[in-house]
Amino acid sequence: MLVQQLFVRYAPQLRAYALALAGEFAAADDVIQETFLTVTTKAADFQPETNFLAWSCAIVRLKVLENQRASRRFSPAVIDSLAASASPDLLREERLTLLMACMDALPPKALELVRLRYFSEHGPSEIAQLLGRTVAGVNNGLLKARNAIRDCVAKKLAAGSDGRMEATG
Amino acid sequence: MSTPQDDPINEAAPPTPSMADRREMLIDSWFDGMLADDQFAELETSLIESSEARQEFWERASVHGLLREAAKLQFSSVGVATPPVNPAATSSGGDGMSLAAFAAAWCELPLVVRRIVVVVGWLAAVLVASRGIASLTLAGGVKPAAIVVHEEGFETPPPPAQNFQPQHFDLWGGDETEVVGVTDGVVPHGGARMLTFVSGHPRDTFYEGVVAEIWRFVDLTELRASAGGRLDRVELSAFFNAAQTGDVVKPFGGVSLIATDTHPRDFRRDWRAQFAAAAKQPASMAASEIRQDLDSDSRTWQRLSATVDVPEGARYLVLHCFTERWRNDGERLVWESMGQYVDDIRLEVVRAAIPRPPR
Repeated sequence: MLVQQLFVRYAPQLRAYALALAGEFAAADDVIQETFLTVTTKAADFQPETNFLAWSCAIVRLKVLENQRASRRFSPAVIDSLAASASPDLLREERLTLLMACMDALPPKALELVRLRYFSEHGPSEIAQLLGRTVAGVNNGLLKARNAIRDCVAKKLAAGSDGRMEATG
Repeated sequence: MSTPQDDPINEAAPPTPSMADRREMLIDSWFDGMLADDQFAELETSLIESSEARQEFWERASVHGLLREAAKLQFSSVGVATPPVNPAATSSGGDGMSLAAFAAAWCELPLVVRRIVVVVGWLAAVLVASRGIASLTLAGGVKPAAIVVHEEGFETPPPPAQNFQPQHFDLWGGDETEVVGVTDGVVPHGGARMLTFVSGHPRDTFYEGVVAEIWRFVDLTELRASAGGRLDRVELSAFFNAAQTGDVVKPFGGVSLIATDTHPRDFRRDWRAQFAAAAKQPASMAASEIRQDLDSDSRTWQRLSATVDVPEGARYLVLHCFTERWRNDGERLVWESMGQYVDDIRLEVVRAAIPRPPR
């Protein structure tokens, strides 16, 4: 499989990884585009039997370190610490599917916050203006929505894991 | 140093949050760009010193990162559905395509199609930007008065295609344009990028164009289906700016919106004849155009908008943004296109019958 195909396959995971380290949506997108170009240039260096996600995450990390445009970014020491402790499990493709199912279960107000923050890419201050709420209220709402989704995904993962154990046991 | 008044974390938090709660809110505020300097330093220290903090960071990062992916997929049904085969191909969209299906379809493509330019452009367009047509069925929490169904801020590729008339459902097209950052003192209205008009004709061609313009089709069938069959009124808006130039006579910008039953393949070069046709076929066509002089203050953006009541017989919308200016060269007025910018184009359903989704 070409590295470009692998890149497409793992794009959501790579973007999530880049977003974690870069912090800002636009900065993460820039990093991903630069990563794609590097992955393409260095395609010959990739060993097909090795882990593409790990290889490309290392490139993402370097691009984040190179990228100085973000208004605030972690120090190299923090980025290196985080990169060393990242768990591939947290970015599994399965999580994306489960997370989408969990979004459906959010109350309408929480879903609207998610839409404004992650689809329209408004910051909490903008969302507060749009909805006529306080910034603190929006922050709190986003925190609760994320926690609800985190708990929901964890529950579904646990249920799936139990199911597999039963099926194989 | 932040104060209690400007500390969004303390403001939002219970009076005495636990260390875990505090860290949770610091991490979330990092992702939302809401950290004060001292809070950022606190988070960095915590991430360096504590493996527990790093583990929690990744747990929340996975939610934050994948939530963005999920929102892009879930709220942009048409944008995601479009097969990323060729930016020049016309597509009318379809049902949402799963990530796996997308990857599988991609793998089926011939090598030549998977050129870097296509990958970069469409990967960004379909999976990164996803600024496509939003699904109305998920808008249960949105006021029916104004639902954004399309946004374009030119933050991510692909840039508009080059063509002489509206052609695409999934891509802006038109005259020669360039996506730029801050230019000539003009700061993008939103985000880091905006579109500047380069000429009044597609790149590598030349004819005496009248205005510099971009356009795009929207399939009303999907919007109607999502809106329970009714779609009454839509509004197209865009922000325009003109760079400061002393000898320019009244640059102007404009937007037009056409509801029509004519399929893109049947559009002709004189597609603006649709305006005249609309008056004769009110059951299937409607058109509206707003144009306005642009001030020459590069610091100000001017919002222009056009609204149409969508006739029941209309099947498509044409979104159209245009600009023009004349320069006085001392002897005569010379038409030119450079120096105008457009950003944050938005299509909104401003009146529709939207059933609340069952819960």
